[in-house]
Amino acid sequence: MKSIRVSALVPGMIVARDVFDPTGLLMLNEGTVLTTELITKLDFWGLDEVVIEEPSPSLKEQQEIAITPQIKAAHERAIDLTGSLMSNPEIRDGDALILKGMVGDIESQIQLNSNVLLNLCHIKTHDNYLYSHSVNVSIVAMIIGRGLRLDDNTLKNLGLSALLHDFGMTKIDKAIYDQDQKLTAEERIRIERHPVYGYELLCNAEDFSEDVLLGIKQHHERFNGSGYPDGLSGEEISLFGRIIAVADVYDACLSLRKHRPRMTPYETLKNLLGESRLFDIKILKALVTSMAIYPIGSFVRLNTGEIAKVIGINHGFPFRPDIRIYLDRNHQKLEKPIRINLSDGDYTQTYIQETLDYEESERMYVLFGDQ
Amino acid sequence: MKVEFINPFVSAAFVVLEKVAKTKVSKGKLSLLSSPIEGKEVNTVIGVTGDILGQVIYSMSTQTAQKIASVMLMGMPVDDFDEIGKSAISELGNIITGNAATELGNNGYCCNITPPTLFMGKDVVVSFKDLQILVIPVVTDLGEIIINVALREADQ
Repeated sequence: MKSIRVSALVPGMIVARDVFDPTGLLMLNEGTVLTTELITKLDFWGLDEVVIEEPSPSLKEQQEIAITPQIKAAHERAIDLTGSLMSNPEIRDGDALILKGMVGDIESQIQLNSNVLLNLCHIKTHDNYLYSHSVNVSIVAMIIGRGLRLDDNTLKNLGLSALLHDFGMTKIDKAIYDQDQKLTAEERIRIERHPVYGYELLCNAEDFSEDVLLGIKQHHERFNGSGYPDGLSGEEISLFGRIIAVADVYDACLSLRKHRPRMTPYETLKNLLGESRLFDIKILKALVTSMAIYPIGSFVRLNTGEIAKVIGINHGFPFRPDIRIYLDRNHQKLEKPIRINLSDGDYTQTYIQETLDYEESERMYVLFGDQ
Repeated sequence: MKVEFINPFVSAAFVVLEKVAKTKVSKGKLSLLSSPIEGKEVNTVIGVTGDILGQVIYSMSTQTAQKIASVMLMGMPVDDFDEIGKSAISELGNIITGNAATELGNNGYCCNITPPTLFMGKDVVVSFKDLQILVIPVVTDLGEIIINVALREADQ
């Protein structure tokens, strides 16, 4: 319980003591949850301070807090496992089974709570881009697949195909794909072979179905025919190929790479939609519907000036996610971030005004990235 | 209906449409009508409660709704005005009304708004109980939006 200046109040805080207006009339009862409307009212009445208490986490929040460490550990295990497989491009007996089990685990976590997983995809601390990218593309592809209402089995195969989409990179010298400079023509030709290398390496393993293999081979094909290796277009490209193409670009844009700046999740979506000729519009729509307009991990400015991070999607409300407010409207850091659900009828007057740009977001990541 | 209830809606509609729908905006001729009124095909209804009571209805053609939704969805084509397109138009109404309600609050009329309800159809007729309706036609590059405002001060 503490006293807070009215100008520092944010929606979601709870009034800890009855509030009276200057004439002595009761304005707000103890226990009232503050909304934009009530804060405007307190402002209008010229009150100085209000005693508030921190809201206790909701049941949904408690569950998320409880499962996050397990999912985080599973995510890291998946990255390590992918790494150990990809550092030895000879697929051995049993490897396919291990991978399928891992993808199955990720798939069930997606069905359970995709928010937590997506939050993990946006934490880019892993040194080894190739392996964490593989796992993240698998997650994003399955989330798109779920949006397209693919059945469980197809979804798992899609996840497997996405996890292995860059398997062919293991045949390419790390010095080529990890370098700072622009690629030479020969290097580019070599890199553009990686979908075929992956396909060929895994063809021999027998354990992978044709749709899994085609997803790997075709993830750089583009809907308008401008991709590689075969310049396929439209529905000549397999469904998995079209989905993984979108998931691959989505995660790549979010990642910090030497040759270009990282984008915010909102810029990434905008970028994909701006290049809509390159992708199947049905799949872009499924991505936007699943990720919402302000994807998880976006830092946003509310209409009332507070700064918050998007931490959960509310299906059916693409503009109204769950957010965690970090800075009040004077841009002072809150002692404890406040979580609110913008699709809740109490917060109709609160909305997302804009997303922060890359540099502002980056500063917020440094301050609050993994909270 | 007091002028001071109307102006916040006009200015909110201008600010929000320019920013969110990225279009030039101009105001048509205001008119005061009695209930019932005819709506266009896409109608977003938002209730106002608190010191001011009533409804605001944003009415537009399907074509205009699709174009605005597409801009709000970062250029995603909205050809069949599906669920995500509808949620964009609902959000547009919510933002304009929320903006206006905050402005009303700053002027001492504290009010809250209900979540938007979207209804669609041809030849829609809307009846308001005992209220006159101020009709604000707003002309944008993406088509016309009619804002119907029916508000009164709450009884003390």
